[in-house]
Amino acid sequence: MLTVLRGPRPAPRALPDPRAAVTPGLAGLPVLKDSSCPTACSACLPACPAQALARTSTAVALDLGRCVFCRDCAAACPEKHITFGPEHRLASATRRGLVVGPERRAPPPVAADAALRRRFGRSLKLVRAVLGGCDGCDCELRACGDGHFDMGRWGIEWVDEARGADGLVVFGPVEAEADDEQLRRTWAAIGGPRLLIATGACAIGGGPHRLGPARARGFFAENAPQLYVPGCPPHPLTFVDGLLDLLGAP
Amino acid sequence: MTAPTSSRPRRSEDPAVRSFLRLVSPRSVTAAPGEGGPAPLLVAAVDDLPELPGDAFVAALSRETSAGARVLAYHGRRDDDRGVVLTAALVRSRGLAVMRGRARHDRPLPSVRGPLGAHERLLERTYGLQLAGPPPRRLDDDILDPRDMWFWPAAKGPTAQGRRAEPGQLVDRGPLRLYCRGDRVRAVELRALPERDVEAVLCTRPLGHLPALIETLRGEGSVARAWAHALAIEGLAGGPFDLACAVHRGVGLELERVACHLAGQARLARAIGFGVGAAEHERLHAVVRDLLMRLCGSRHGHGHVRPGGVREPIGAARLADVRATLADFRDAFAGCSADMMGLRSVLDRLDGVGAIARRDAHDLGLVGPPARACGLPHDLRRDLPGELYRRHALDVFVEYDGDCLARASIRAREIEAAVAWILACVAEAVGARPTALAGLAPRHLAIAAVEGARGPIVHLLETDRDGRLLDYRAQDPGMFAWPGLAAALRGGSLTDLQVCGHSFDLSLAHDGRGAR
Ligand code: SF4
Ligand code: SF4
Repeated sequence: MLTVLRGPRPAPRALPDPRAAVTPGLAGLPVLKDSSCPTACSACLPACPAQALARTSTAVALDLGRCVFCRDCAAACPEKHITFGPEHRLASATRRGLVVGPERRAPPPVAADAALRRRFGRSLKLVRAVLGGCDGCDCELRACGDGHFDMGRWGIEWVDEARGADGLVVFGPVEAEADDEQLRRTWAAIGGPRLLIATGACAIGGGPHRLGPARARGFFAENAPQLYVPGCPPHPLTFVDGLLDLLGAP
Repeated sequence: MTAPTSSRPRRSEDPAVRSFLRLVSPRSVTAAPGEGGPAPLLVAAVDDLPELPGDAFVAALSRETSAGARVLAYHGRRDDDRGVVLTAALVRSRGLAVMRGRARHDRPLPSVRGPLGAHERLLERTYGLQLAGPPPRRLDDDILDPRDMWFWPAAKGPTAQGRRAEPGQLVDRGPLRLYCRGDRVRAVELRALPERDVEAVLCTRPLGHLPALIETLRGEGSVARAWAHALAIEGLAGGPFDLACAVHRGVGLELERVACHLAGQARLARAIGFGVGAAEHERLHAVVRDLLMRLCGSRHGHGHVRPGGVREPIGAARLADVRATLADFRDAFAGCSADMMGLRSVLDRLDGVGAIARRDAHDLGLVGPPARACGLPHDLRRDLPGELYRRHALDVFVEYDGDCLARASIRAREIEAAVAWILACVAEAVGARPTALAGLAPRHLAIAAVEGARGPIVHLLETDRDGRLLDYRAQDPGMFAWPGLAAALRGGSLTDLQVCGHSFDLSLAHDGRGAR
């Protein structure tokens, strides 16, 4: 017993302070140079597999909701105007907030919602809707609740049944009518005031495998998500930070 | 007086002695020595490959498998006017081999089943090919009984019968249906999952987009998939082999393997209620994913591999980072793994659960760690070492009991071996450079295979006469794991469902996720 007490303290299992954590090395928030792009240049546009880039009159705009963070645009740009920084705080409360460009350098910070804070500030049960896609988003979302990122310390937990949940987290491509139907049924099963979160490039923008414009996205037209968490897949801290901002947690 | 017989799995008198013996027994199989050995890539001109008629093709295939060859991929391409073009990639003792055949729409193709069953089911489903011969092993009708209850543990959505789910019964579409009497699983039925044909999209997109699309295909293992893709593309474009580049990719692949195995061990620990072990594995999982992120910008290794070379070279700073992080990791993991695999309660819970015999594993066509846990030494890093694994051979482990304990201990050993491998050769990754690639060779076929965390990932590409992609098949090892899980559950206890699922790296409904 004494040896155990005297021995070295084991490394803490949980990340000490996720709110202050940084993610060096992450290809996160794109940094678009101020200097305007040459008028005739659009070299990065065809390089993008997710159709996330658009030419504006002076520069480019990048839609984080579609971007898969492959950084092929950075390699294609002859002027080196696009780089990716380590910032992981990318969540936004609006779809429009995810488009970054000359006039908006980063998604606007998610404002705390007093009503949500009152209801879910101490306990929030979330259910994930699996719609396919690769395994990336699922892996990272699980990680949010594991022993390391441990969002359970704010009372946020994953549950298996929609009936016991307060919120729905959607990821994976919403492609077919059947997906919409499935989402509607889960959404209906969550009673009372509820929270809808769209996660990852597939759920927010249709995903890199989509052919042309997304077809069946009726569910999101009827119910606007309260939080968008971009990334492919998003870093667990992107999800945790965005959610805590929305709940107004310190 | 005769001793009462019991249907429970045979157990030894003293589990501690038995477990001790088991943990020291695995045999390490090293890569075959010698130069010019088998490589994980095969490129051939389509016109040089004889195209056998369907019957002859299947006969030749079954001759090959009885002679000991292992079928890596068995694929069909619809060729409207003349039927379906069949391609089979085989691992022989001398290396990778390919066979071509043609099935006609109007004549059923003979079936081989056995280890080829999973491939043949896919052919039937995807191309509507009729297969004649012994039907796939159906549900054991003779043992079914009206008193049995059945349910889909992972199917809370609309079932195959189109039954409308009640509100709240949602989310998962699993492929297993269990028939139980009390807590005994008497039979397991495997149904086909609806699949999105994402591969069809690949041939329509520009070549430059493919790496990002491949990295986000279904299934875990972005680095392994991107590497298989890059190998095939480089093979078709005639790119040179660069050892530094191969080591760089190998480092990413082994980090990915370590991360997947750690996540699997953590889930297994949670499923048996060993929370402390789970939390420690999860912490280490984050350490490894973060290291991968510092190497390539993504926790999932997106961007680590690009055709033609590497994008983020490993310099002195990254090299020091890898060494320091992995040296700490190695010590922490040794303690954490000894805690888990040395605890008597953990061993007792896993020992003898979900056992599969070696013969059955072979007939089911198991791959990856579940196969190695049954005594089948199938590992492409040993079978098709190529230049990289010939120079830096990697220990491949096998266990013989085929139960959950064997699968967990294989994973623990593979984590240790992967870390040791990276530490031994990461210095050679320095200096890897990207090279420009020429266009793809017209009318060629490339088959590239990489051993991912859950088994071989095989990419099969074919080009048309203009050098554009005509066909793309990206095969994920997940399709072999479900039949294995069904076999492991049969005859066991219902309470072992989660434990068995996690030991195959597959998750069922109670975890809130679908099949993968
Ligand atoms: S990083 Fe994003 S914007 Fe750039 S090419 Fe990739 S998907 Fe497109
Ligand atoms: S958004 Fe990206 S990571 Fe998430 S499911 Fe889609 S492809 Fe996978």
